[in-house]
Amino acid sequence: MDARIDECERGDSNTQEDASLEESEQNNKDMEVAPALVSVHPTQSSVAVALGSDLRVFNLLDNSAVSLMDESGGAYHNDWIRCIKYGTNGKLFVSAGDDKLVKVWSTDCWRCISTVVSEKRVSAVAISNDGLHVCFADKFGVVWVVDLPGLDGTEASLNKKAVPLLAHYCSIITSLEFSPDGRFIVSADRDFKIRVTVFPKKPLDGAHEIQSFCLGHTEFVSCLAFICTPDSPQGILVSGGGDSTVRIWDIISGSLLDTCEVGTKVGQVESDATEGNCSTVTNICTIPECTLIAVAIQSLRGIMLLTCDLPSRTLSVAKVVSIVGENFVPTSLGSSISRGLLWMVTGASKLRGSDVSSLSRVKVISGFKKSSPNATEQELAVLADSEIPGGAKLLEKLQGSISIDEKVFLAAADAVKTAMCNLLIKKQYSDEKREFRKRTRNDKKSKQ
Amino acid sequence: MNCLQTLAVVMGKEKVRIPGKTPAKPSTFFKSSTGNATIDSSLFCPTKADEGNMLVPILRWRPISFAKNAQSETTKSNHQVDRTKASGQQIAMDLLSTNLVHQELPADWLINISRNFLNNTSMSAIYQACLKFKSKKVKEDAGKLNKLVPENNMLQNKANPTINKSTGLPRKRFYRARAHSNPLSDSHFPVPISPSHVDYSLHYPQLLPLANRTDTFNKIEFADIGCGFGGLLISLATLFPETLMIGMELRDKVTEYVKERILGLRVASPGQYQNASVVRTNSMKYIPNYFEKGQLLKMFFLFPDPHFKEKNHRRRVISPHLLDEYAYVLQVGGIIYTITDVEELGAWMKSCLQSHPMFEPLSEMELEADPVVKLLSSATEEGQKVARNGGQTFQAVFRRITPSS
Repeated sequence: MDARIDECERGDSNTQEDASLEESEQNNKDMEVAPALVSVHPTQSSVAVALGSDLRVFNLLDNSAVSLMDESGGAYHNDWIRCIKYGTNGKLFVSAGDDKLVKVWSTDCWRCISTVVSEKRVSAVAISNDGLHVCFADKFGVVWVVDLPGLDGTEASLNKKAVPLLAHYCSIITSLEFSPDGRFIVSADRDFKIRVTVFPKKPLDGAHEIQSFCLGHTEFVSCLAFICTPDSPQGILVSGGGDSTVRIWDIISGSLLDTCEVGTKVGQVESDATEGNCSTVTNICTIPECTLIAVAIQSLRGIMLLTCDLPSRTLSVAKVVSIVGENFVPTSLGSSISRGLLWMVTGASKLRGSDVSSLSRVKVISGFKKSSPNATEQELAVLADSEIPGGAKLLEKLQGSISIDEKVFLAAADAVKTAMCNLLIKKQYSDEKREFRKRTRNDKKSKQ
Repeated sequence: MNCLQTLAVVMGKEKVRIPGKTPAKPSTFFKSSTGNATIDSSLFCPTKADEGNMLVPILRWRPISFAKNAQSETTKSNHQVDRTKASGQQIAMDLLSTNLVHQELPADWLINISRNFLNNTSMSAIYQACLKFKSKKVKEDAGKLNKLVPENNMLQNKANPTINKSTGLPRKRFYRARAHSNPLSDSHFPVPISPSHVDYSLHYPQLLPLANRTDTFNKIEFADIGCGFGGLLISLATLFPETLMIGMELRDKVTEYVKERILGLRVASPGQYQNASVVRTNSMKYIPNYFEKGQLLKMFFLFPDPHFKEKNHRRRVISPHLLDEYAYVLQVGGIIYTITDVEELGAWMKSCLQSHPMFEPLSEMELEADPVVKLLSSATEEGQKVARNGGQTFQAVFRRITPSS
């Protein structure tokens, strides 16, 4: 009898808890946004920005906006785009996202040459260096591969079936990269792991041979990039994570070469207190032909540049380039070989339930000279809008409009931060919350 | 009638019906070998002076119908008791056990009764009977009774009732847990950042006492994935005394049990079992965190959860993708042992292993020669259960090879 009374009492307080818990879960859903993404063609012949479900490309060679041709007509993607990438040989571009479609575009005529259907929402894509295979990863940790036929683009859009290549056990894969020599595919996930797998000659049979695991991050790994080095063809892997560190690794052995505590450096630079621990590294980009790494960090208005000293294989902070005059927290970075420009974009898709339409802002930093590895000698400047290659036309196409109301950027930046935290940081539930979440379990035996 | 008289009646050999005031509802009478006596309402909870008369008040104070069967029987009041069979002790025991069900009586009072009226064997008998009751309080009170028994008193491990007093090994009943655990949930146990962060001195204190060892000489070579209650580890530890081995289990309580078991065995047989240990972890997610590339010689997957539903097949511990990870931690030439009593699962595991380019099956001869193979079906609790029930087992033993590209 006592037990029954207890249950009744708990029941009352439960309903109150329930209501607040349900509310918070609803809030979480409302807060989901997709950050704006940028990707630059290897020779900078075009720049692509993805914002929400909108894919915008600008052709820098003839200074014109590109209209994409797709069989489906209408919107190319029905839901938010989560990842875009150019292939290293410059012929292919791939975009994928929450609508469970992976679209492969030819960069010559900007036609969609292949649409691949995925079972789950896609979280990362990569194109092999020879342009023959496209890999994409979903939220359950499976990396799929699809092979592409000849790239002339004259063939009609093919609907190919993807084959699983490898799998992380039920963990969201945040980033996929091929090593510069194409021998390895590296995948990073939310369980703090980076897996280096040998990319086989016949990928459709699956990639079974794991080369190494790069373990060392203490939070989710958010982004990967490679530094090309003359002496090691497989390059040096750079990773950034939710633990506010950027680390470099040797992928053959999986050993950690160096760590840079980016979070603490941010604290030093920004005198105004940034909240709590959210100095997650959101994106990293290696500037080709310099050993510089550009790091975008949540709550840092600008980028941090790290330099990697090749002989000693160490990492150190070179400088922080802040964007003055604007609340610009980059959500995505891109750069191209030999042009010395770093492209940054910030923005978010339309927040659900808000009136503010989706917006993005593009900025460029110039001054990266390929010959001098020493960052302090470089004069880096944030280009004004008029100085950006492509000028106003580019901005109009990629941003949607030339001038943007600044206030909304703060909202966007916050939304992106929350979305990333919700998605990737493992939640610690209190006991009551765990019990609440178990309510919808349907395998419990009903008590007589 | 006064107390003494009532007592006399009860203890005596005549059949007597004792009339009197029946207490008002809700109190009713319960069945007892002494019959129901309606007692003078002037009786109350006994004081020390009443010690000799305790039997009678018990009848008054008895509870009310918690037990459902008691309820139906209480309506039969005034039933004749056959006192020829009942001895004083029997009466006392009877009363005590029923009273314990009803939990109305304070424990020290019960203890007093027992001390005075019961001998040790009766007390133990009551204790055993009480253990069958589900209520915690009954067990607690019974436990107090049990402590009175002198031999129990001395040997019982007061600090830890979950350890068996004679063997020093843990009692399984205190470590029961659900058989199935969700491998997909993010459990909150610490995970080493990398294999070099695994603390060997914690697991193998005698063999590797230094926390930060720089020598890479001795490493874990056998891993029992989903080790359950530790049967295989225990058997292997003596068969391979030079090899370090570890069990991995997802369930909290079961891991505790294995820990206690190993500790108990280490104490009982000094010098042995120092090479076995257990860790609570999700081996499907975190195997690369514990073992370096090519570290393991043998991996065991004994009677894994079958996950019958198609949608749950991805939770199976042997699957084409997870085999990549197991191939990574196994040395070339290392062996993976699997066994199950579920035919469909056995076929599944065999086909996964056969279609994986980095595993090849062992030949019949090699299986015969390997001493471990016989342990697969006999060493674990699960295996013994299958043998008891006369079930069939399906094993698949494969060797890790370099893939021919």
